Amino acid sequence: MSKSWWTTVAVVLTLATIALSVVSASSRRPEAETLVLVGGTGDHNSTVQFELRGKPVHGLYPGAVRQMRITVDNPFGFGLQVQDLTAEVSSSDRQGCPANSQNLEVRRYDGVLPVTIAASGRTELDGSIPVAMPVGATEKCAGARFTLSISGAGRRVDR
Amino acid sequence: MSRAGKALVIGAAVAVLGGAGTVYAYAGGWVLTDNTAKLTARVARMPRGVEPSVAKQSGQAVVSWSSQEITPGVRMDRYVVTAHSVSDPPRPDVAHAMAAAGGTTETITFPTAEVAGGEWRWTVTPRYREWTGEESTLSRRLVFPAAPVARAAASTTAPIAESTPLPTTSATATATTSPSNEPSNEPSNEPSSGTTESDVTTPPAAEPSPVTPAPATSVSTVPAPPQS
Repeated sequence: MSKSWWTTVAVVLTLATIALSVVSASSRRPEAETLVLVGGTGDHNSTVQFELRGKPVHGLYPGAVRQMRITVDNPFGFGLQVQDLTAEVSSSDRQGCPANSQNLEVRRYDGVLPVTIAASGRTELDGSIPVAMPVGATEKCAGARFTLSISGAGRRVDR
Repeated sequence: MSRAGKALVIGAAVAVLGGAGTVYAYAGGWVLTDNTAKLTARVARMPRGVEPSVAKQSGQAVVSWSSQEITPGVRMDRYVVTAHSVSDPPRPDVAHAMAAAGGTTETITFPTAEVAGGEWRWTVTPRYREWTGEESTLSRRLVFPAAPVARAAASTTAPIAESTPLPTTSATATATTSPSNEPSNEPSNEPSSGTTESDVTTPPAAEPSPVTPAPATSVSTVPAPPQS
């Protein structure tokens, strides 16, 4: 094999090493990382998750708006800045009451964001996610139970 | 270097880059899963109607029941009150849809013209917006003697009064919803023969005989007949 080929290989490897070093350094820099994480069961086997907990909403009826309060568990040894929360209706336990916006509307988080959660801390957010039942919701929804999916996006902070 | 050696070097480089990317990802980079938090939102049930209490009052039927809520603090906005005929032969049911008054008790009056000459039991069906609850159980039975059709008609100078049909369109005019309008001046244990009151002068066939005349003072569509 020619020398030029080996030179090329050496240059590529050198550049790769440099790139790795830069990436590695930047990943340790606070405020520079964005964690897009989801609330869930707290399974730490392979992915990093923080946990979102919400209080179930009861007593919905046509025209009613209920506020769903959210608690964030931060299992990490560093601070977590929650930047966004989103929720949607994912299912209903009634066949005649589909999980759509005609029957249940989940609005955007109503509160101040971002919110910083201390390392290994737990915070109930001041704001809430409004859950509204439209006036025209079908009668088949009486007594139904909806499942809502909530997810959040956060950023690591080092305080 | 042999071909195998070159392939080994290239493979190593690819492995290093791939591994580094993975390490970066899990060291604080982007992590996405579909393991979202699941919460529940429960919808209130529509209650079954409350069995109403019923009483006779000056030949009318006064139907009362406790107001109902779809959820604590939120009362039904309407009710459908239905008079079910238990006469033999039966007469058509009479249903009144009424707006809730908002008090702890709801009341509606079925005028003499609607109930006279029949035996009735009542049910209440709660409604909220477009939702309807289950109909209540039947109230106890009330029996009403026939209405004074002939005299009422005669008092309005109609020469063919006896063939004039009873007024039947007084549902909205007589639907009263005052929560304080409890029927308290009537005996709560009406006999099934309905002989305590009567506005009847010319009863239809197979109806009970009149006894003591008493004008239906609160029925706007049936003027009180002058005594002969």
